[in-house]
Amino acid sequence: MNLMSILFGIVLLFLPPQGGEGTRYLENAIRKFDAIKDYVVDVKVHMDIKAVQAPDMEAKVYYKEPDKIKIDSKGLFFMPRDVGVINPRKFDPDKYAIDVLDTLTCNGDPAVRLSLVLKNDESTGRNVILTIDKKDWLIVEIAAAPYPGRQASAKITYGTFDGFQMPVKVEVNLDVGKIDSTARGFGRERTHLNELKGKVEVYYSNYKINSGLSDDIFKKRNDD
Amino acid sequence: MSLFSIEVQKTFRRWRTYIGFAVILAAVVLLEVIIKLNETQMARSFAGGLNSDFLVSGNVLNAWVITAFIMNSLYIHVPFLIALVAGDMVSSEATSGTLRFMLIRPPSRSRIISAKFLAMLFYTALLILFFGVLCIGIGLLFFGGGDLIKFQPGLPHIVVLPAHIAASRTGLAFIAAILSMSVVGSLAFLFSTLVDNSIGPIIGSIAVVIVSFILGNLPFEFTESMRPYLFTTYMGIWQLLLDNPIDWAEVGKYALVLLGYDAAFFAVAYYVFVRKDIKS
Repeated sequence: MNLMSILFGIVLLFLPPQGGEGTRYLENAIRKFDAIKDYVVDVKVHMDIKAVQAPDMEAKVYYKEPDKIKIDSKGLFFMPRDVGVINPRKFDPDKYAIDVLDTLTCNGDPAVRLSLVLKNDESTGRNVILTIDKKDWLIVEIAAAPYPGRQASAKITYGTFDGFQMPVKVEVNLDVGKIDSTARGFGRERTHLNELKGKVEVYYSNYKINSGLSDDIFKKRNDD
Repeated sequence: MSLFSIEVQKTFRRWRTYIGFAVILAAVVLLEVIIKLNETQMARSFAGGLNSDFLVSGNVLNAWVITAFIMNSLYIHVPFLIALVAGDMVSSEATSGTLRFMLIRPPSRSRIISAKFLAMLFYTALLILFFGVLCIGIGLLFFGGGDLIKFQPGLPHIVVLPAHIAASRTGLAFIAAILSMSVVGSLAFLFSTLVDNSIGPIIGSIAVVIVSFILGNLPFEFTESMRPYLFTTYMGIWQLLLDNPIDWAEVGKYALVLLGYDAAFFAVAYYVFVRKDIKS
């Protein structure tokens, strides 16, 4: 072994381990979710957005690992895409450059804020800031800026169901910029685009966790 | 048998009366079949900007949405179909030579013109109701029911009307559409009292509707100042009834203006008819 090899070995010893502090925090949050293979939950959405007038909407949401989602509703139902279904698995540590922004206290518990920037811009292009409760390893806040000028943040409140801590309420603040609509009738004033800005409250109840959901449930598209 | 019944019978004895029903039947069936064949693409298009930010579920493309969509064609072919019959109401009597015979015997000219006008309104109402029943019926058959998602000017911009409200609102919209289209009928009816052939009133009334539409939609200060005086400005009354909340004051204003035009066109037609010279 020559001197260069010994020096290289010493340098390697002092390099920080691959996947920094932020990655470990995120992995803890994902691990916390590991035991959840699938769940079914009743979801109620209340919108408080000036540009959208919709009655409270109800649906049954089916989730199966790693990221299968199916929504069943009698009437029209829509909920924020990025933060409506909390799934730590979608924040794959290998796909993001993760930095610790700061540490803070959240509801009296220690927490950490992480910045997740996608390494590969060609994918969905979603950059996220997560606040993780270090006591229970739960994601308690998500802030996403999926596209320039579009922002969504969510505060998540958890409850315990069958021994699992699951969201019971997600309060989403949306600012997704101007919405584009081509649907307008003849002979009317031209439609001015309105900003989709406001608050959406999503309530979750009646969790059925790890009931062994079949893949067939997820075969039909939600918007079909 | 009342004069009105006789006029209705006369109207429905003419084959051209059924052109309107046949065209509407063909147009609605064709449109709904095409939409059905492109359902997924159309549903995405309707959900529009929502899809990128929201997980959307439910029957987005349902009978009420499709009906509201197809109702936009009210401005395209329905005025022509109404003018086709309304423009023939009086002039056809002159063409066939029955007008003189009719006017030298009782009942009075005022009763005759009133009965013809009511028969024209009856045809208009029947045609629009047929259009509505067809849109909704085939829509329910092909797409089922559901909430009506609608984009409207101002705030709120996206309105979701629950299915049961959507049904009643669509019904109201079709009733308003009868009023809207009656103005085209009244105009064609007025023209039919002026000439002795049917082509003139039909083409004339459609020309007035088209020019009025164009003027009302030109983005110039001068043409915009004309908008309040054009009857076509108020023909979109049915769309107000799908807004939420309904601006009843605006609906009332539109309805009064349309009724005013109906009354004015009928008054002129009445004046012309009762003074019509049948000797020459």
